[in-house]
Amino acid sequence: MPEPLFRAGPSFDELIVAIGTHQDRSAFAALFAHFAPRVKAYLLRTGSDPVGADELTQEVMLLVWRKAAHYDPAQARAATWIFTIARNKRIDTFRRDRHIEFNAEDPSLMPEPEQSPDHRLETAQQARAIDAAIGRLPNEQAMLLKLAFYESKSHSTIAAEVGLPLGTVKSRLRLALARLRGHLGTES
Amino acid sequence: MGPLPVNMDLASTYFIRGSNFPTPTHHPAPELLVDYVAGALSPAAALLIELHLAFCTGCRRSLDVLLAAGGALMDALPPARLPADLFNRTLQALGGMEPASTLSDPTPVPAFAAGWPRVLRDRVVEQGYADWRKMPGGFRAITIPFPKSEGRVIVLKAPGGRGPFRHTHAKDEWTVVLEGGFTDELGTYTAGDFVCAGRDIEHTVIADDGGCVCTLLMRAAPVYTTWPGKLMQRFMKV
Repeated sequence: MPEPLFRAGPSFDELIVAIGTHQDRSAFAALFAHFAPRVKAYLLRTGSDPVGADELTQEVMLLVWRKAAHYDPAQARAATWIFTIARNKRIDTFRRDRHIEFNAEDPSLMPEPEQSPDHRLETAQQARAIDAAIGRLPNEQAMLLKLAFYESKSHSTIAAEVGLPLGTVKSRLRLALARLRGHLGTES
Repeated sequence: MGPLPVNMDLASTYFIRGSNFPTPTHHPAPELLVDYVAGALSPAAALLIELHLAFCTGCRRSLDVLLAAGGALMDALPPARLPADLFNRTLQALGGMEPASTLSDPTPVPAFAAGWPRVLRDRVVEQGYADWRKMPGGFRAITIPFPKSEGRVIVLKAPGGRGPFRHTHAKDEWTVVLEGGFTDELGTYTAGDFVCAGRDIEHTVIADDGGCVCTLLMRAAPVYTTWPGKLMQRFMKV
C-alpha cells in the first residue's frame, strides 16, 4: 500500500501505544506499512535469504503486536524498539547452539524501576537527535557504523574487508560512539 | 537534554541488577559494544558483554545510543518489496496469538548462582547445575557450553589469595568479575569489571582475600610461563 508523504496522523510511537492499549489493527497496518519493508531490508542486508527474510519479518511484526503493551515511548522511539526486536530475532535465528532464547520472545518483560523519571526524554526530541547525530558524523565514521549495522560485521572483519588498519577502524568507531553520545547528551 | 534512558526492552530481559552496585572501572572497548549491537559477536562473546552490561549503567547508555543508531539506520534503508499477501498472513497469525503474560520460572535457582545476572543464572538453571564442580587447589568451576570454535566459557571461583599459575594467552581472553575481586600486575578488578588479556599480557593473578568469582571466555588454553604451571598443564591437560 502506498505510503503518505506527510504523516498528519499519529506518530509511530503513538501507533504502538494504540496497539498495546486497545489492539488497534489499523494502527498495526500503518506501522506494518512503514516498518515491515525496512525490517525486511535490514534482514536481507544482514544475510537472510529472501524467503527467510519474509518469514522473519512476519515474526518480528508479530512480536511488535504481542509486546506492544510493554512499549514505553518515553524509553525508546518506535524505530529503536522495532530494530531491537528485529536484531534479537535475527541473532537468535542464526545461532546454531541455542540455549535459552534471551530475546524478544521472552514474555516476562516487567522492567524493574531502575531509573528515575528524570531520564525520560520527549520522544520527538529523541528522534530528531539521533537522526541529526548520525547525519553529523564525519563520512569516515558513518561509513564504518553503517557497515557494522547493515552487514553485521565485527570491526576486525570490517578492517580486513575495507583494507584499513585495525587501529584506524577502532578509533573511528570509538569517535563515532563518543560523538553520538555527545549529541544525545549522554556524557557521564 | 537529559541522558537517554536504558532501553528497557533489552534491559529487562538481560540486565536486571540492583541499583546499589558500584560502577565498574574496566569496560569493554567501545568497538566491542558496536560489534555486540550489530550482532557480530559469537554467542559466547556476547554473553561476556551482557554480563558486564548487567553491572554497568555507563555501558548500558552506550548500548542505548547504539540501539537508537541501529533504529535510525534501519529506518533509513530503502524499503524492500514484500509479498502482496504478507500483511494479510500476518493478520491471520494475529488471530491465534495469546497476549503476553508474565512468565513465572518454576525451576529454582541454585544458591551459588542466585546473585548473578539473569543472563547467566538462566543458563545455570538450563544446564541443571546443582553445585560447583570441585577443582584442585580449592578452585571451583562450572562450564557454560558453547561450540568449540567460540572458545570455552567457565565460571571460576577462586579461594582468597590464590590464583592460576603465571601465564599469558595465545588468544584474547575475556573475564568479567561477578563477585569479589582479583589483582594482577596491571590493576585491581572488582565486580562487573570487564578485562581483556591477550598475548601482550603475562601475569600472575591473585584473588582478593574474600575470594573471587569470574566468568572467563578462553579462546585458547592459557600459556603457562613457569614450570609449576607447565607441569600442571602437562599432567592435568588444563
